[in-house]
Amino acid sequence: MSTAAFIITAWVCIGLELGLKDAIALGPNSIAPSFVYCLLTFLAMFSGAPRPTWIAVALGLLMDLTARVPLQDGLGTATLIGPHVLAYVLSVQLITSLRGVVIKRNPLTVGFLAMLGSLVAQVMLVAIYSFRLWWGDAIMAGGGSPSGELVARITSAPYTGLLGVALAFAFFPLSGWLGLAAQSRKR
Amino acid sequence: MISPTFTSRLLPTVIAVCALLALATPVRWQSWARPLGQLATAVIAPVSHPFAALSRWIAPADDSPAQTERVRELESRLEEAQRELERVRFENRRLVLSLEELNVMAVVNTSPVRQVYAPIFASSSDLSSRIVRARAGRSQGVEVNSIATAAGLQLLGRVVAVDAFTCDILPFNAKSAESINAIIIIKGSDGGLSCRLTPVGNGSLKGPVHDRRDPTNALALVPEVGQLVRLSDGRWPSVAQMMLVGRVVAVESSPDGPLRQIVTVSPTVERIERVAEVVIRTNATSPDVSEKDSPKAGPGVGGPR
Repeated sequence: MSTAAFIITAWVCIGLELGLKDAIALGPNSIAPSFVYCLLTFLAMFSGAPRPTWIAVALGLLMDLTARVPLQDGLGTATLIGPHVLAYVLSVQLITSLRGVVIKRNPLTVGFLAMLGSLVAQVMLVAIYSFRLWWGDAIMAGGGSPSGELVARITSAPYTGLLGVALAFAFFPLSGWLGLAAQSRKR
Repeated sequence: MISPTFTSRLLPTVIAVCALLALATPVRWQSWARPLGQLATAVIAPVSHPFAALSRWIAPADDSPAQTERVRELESRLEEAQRELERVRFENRRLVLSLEELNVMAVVNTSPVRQVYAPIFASSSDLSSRIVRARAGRSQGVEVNSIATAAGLQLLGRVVAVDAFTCDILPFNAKSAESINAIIIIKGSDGGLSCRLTPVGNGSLKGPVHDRRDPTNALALVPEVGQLVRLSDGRWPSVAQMMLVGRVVAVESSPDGPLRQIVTVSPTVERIERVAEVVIRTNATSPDVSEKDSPKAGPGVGGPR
């Protein structure tokens, strides 16, 4: 896989995540798809081990660096390293396990795997924030009750799946430029 | 060239470190990550800003019918005058009470206000926090606790973190925001009804109203749908007092006591976090703020009011 092409694609996707995600959010409960997760799904489907895990680490780190977690008592915001990395690494294991039994060259497959992976990632994120609150960390994730937004986060997963189907039509033509086509032919 | 064996061995270590940071490191020990976050935001801003501007152009904050620029300007002036009137009334009452209690002259905060116009260029990658990021920072005089307003002096929130050129704004109606004290303005009554509003999570705020009788005719004041609600909270800066919180959209009886009322208040600007530009109000006496230091000095930065 071309590292330069990956960096440029990740840069555009995180730009879409920060600039466009709230515009396509449904209702007031932050039900929104993830552009970055769709990219992760696509790359994980076509990269050889252990590259999908490295990509999950890189994209998770990028998400952690650009997320702002409010602190309790109005003490500002914090940048937390780790939650998205762990969630993405765990969920990408599911994608790499399932990619052998699906028809890879189908946009619906990208959507399906993005939905499943996103579901795992969101549940993992809620678990991490809940654990931090349990031992008394001063974060205000999910208004102080991360489990309260579990439904909204789970509902975001099918939405990410839908976006994955749409983005697959852009990602497949880019696979040659990303250096994925040769790899997928080799295997 | 890095060998595949090395990367394979490095991966578990990286994941273990991330797990430690994610699960067991207190947030105050991760302050070193903030500059990295600012750097990442700075790198991503050139691509996120056009998308944010495009999305806010397609789906703007207010769904009201298109108004002419002149009407909008007049409405803004009217709102400014009403807010000033309420602020002066509020200040007057406070001073009268202070004079009665202390029998000394109260010192009035007359510090001028600097207004900084700042475009919204991104939101947090995790939407649950509802934080929006504006392109104005310490170099433009923005400080933590500066106030952000949308069109027509509608309160948007306050600045919770600031760096050199950008700041994070937590909307007052976000679920993670604190409760606020506010006053329901009742026409013909002196003082209005005070209430404590807590964000519900769907953009509106809800809370109990304190009972009060009209001093002129001793009748109980009752909140009604459509009445304006303004901020009156000592924990917020003086510049934010009497800013518009929203409008009463529902009144119901409290389950704890049928005679007590609970109001639901919604901002006057729908989907307020979708505004394309905010006005950040801060003290004009902010340190180290000069026109030449400010990259957006000139049309973007308003002078003292």
